[in-house]
Amino acid sequence: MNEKDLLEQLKEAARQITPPDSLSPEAIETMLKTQTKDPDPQQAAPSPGKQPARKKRISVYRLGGLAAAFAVVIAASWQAGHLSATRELTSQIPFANEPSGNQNTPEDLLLLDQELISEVTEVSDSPAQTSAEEADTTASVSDQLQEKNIHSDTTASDGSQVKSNLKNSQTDDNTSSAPETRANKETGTADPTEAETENPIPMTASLKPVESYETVYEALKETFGQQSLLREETLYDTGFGVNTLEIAAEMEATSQLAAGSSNAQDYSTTNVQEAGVDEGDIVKTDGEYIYILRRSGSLEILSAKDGSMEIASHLTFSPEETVQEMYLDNDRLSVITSGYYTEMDTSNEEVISAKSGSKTHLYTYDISEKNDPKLLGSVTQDGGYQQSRKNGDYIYLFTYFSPAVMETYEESHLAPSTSKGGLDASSIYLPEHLNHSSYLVAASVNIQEPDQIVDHKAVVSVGSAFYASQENIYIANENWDNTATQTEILKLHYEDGVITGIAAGSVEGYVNDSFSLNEYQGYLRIVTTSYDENYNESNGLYILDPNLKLVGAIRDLAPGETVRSARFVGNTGYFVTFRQTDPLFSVDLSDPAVPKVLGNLKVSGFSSYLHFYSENLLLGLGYEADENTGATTGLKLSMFDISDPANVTEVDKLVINGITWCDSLNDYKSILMDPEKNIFGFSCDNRYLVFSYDEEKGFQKEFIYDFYNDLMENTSNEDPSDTSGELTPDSQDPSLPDTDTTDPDKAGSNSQASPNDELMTLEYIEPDTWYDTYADTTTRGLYINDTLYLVRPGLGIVTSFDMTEGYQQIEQLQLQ
Amino acid sequence: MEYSTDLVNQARFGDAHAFARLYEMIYQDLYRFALYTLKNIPDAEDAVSDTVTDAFRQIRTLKKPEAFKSWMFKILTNKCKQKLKSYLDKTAELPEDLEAVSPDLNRKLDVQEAFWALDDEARMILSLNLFAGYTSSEIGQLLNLNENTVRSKQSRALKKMQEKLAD
Repeated sequence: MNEKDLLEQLKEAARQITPPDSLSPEAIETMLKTQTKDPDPQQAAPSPGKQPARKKRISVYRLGGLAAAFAVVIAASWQAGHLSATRELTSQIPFANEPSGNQNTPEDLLLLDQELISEVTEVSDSPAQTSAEEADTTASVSDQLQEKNIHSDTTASDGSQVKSNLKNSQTDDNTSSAPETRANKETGTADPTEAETENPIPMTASLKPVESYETVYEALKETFGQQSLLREETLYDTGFGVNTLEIAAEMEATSQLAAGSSNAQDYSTTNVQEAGVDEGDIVKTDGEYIYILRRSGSLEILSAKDGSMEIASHLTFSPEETVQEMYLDNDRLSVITSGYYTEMDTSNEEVISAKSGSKTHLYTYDISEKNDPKLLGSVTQDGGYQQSRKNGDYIYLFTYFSPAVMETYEESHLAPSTSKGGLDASSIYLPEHLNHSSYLVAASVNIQEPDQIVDHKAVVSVGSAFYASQENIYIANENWDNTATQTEILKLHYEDGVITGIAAGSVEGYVNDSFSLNEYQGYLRIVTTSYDENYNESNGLYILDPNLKLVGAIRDLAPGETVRSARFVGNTGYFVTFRQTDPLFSVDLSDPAVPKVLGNLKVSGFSSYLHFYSENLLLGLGYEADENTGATTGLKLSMFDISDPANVTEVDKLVINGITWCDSLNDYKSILMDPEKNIFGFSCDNRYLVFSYDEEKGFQKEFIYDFYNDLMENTSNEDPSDTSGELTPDSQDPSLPDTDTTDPDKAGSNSQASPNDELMTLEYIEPDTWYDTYADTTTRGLYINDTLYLVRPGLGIVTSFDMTEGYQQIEQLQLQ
Repeated sequence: MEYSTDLVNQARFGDAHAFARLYEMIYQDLYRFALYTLKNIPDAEDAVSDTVTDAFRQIRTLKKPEAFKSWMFKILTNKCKQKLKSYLDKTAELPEDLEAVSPDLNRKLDVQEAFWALDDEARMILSLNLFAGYTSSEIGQLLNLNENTVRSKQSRALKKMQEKLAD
């Protein structure tokens, strides 16, 4: 019996297992309704069919989960605490309006990493908690949490009226969010004065270090309770992370274009979010060599000249560590890895506890000799790897660290460490509002002195979105409850490796992704989606000053729709909302106090990635959708003319039917984007698609590479004339709009050229192995001069194509 | 599997019914995964139930409706990991033999028996592949293992099962 059959049998056997009645959808629905809506402790019964003894235990487990999930309740109390706590710093924040001179090399213009900080929840399975909480376990858990949080505010307030807490805040008229929100509805813009005085949400607060770890301990224990001895870092990927980023590379179009044109280089760079702020990736090139980081734990350096490739060197990493990303800067190559460790703590004879968690490492090599990279130094910091950025010589690493909050302060383990030592209390920032008990630990390394940490700081809280401008790091924490969502923003300034907490603020709604945040001339612009108590969605744009004080807003845009992508250039912002059709909003931001909607272009489908293609063109990559149902029907490329932001038009579109989701569009670093070279590419359903844009003829299909057929050829010598995966004219759907202008004759391609490129369908190809797909979001396309390279780090295959000869394949290299 | 964006949106707004509809599409696989991993019926039930509670609270943070299934499995995997860890702590309390806990599982195919004999990690890896449809690289990320390790563990587990079946 082969492995596949075995798995099949196992699966078959499992089909006979039926879940117990207590897990039936009906029982679950009842359980959820009971948990959420019934405040009566007597009736807060778990799912039927459970024994009393277990009921209690379950409730306690749930409490652990809820502590984080329900952090929202604190959202309201945060306002009160925050306002009363601080305002003194607001006028002293060091801030430069103009970005400092960009001294970055072209490589630094690589794009940002968007493996977004996933919303994280730590769930503790907590026997220790059991005894403490047992008496209360029949009470509604959410009520308990509310009470806890309110208590922490030292406000005797009824749990059901959290908002009344706000009366403690300095400005009484700041108390309620919904009514005032609506007050702005008619005008669509907020009066600046109104924004200051009547803004429903307090918008500014400082971010100050704590005085001691006792403070952190008290706050964490108060909010989340103590954790079990067997604690564990459990970071849930809530779909916020790698897979969810709906993107739009933010950059100042001008600086980007300038960088491109002054460039002697002719090779592609990582697609980053912010010009001048580099992001790590798994594949990089310097124009002569290709650097490939493989999940299997190795780094390959390939020389690449005119499509012929040769391995220059091969480095392996400890099997205990997982390679994450790398940075390339002339003769410095820095690799980030992370690992999991478990240590037995036997210091207490009574209790033997296991301490476990993640550590993140940064190894920096001298690669002046490509066949002999030399390790120059390495640093380590506590926590699982989340993000990193590089600006100039400094790499900034961001990890999540989970403290152990025990019954007493002495037993607890609260201080994260880095190679620089433990973080002292003055390096820890404790926001008033805690939505998670983990810390975001930030540390910086100078790649010229790569064996030491320059600075390290931590914020008690983790973000749902993360954005780094050239000078500041913004962490967005989403907080929600049953009536409103808000996003708390924490701002850290960074410069030459030094990281300093600056300010905290908050806006209504939640952000789609990091591209919903943008800093320009000191002001932070944010696009959010909010909902009211009847769950009606609407969208808003907010402008915050350097102290994160709200100065201007537009609310109630596109009711019932959700922000899908956003993009800012100088004083203009663009964002796409979607339900059934795609309005592309353009907004004038030149007066931060009075943002104005300039236009609202409705087209079919929606863009999930926006990129400024030239001064006057905005490229949207996304999906075509059925205008009645909103269901996606195909991949859609749109080109918008933005020469007049008040009158944006869709000048061309290309729809590829049959593709309803492309993961790589949600991971902007996997997109090859080079308007200067006039080429962009991405992988989709086991194909790599390359396009260009012609001002007159519109989108041009340059090349479609089929990984599936490639694999067939390589593994079984099967006749490559099997065209099941190739382009076929779509004769089934004559209803498609006929406005596209692609000229197939101009498009060089290995694939069959379709007579009607605008009416093409790509069939979905089902991978047929258990373990691998042929292309995934780790596939990277890059070019050097006139050669396109497709790199698949997972399979270890690199293929080169001659771009001047209809993308004819030059060579394929299989890495070991 | 099709996930209605609308259902996810409704669930996000606290609609228990919408959530239950989404759950309905995957709950059998969730339970089977938990049972295969934990070898313990009440704990599998707990794990799924806890997952639902957590997920419902957090669904607002799920931005991509299409990721619902994979997101649920991630939460469940963490729940199961915690349970497995807690077993280590109190092995004595736990029945070594599945028969004692779940008599109805004994009548299953040999292949299942061979599966029960695998270690916790191997069962979890195989179950993630079987029920959640994760690739080895995704499993690696979930379990902090590198992709090749996952693949070799998978392979080794299947070999072990084959040997058992050949006896």
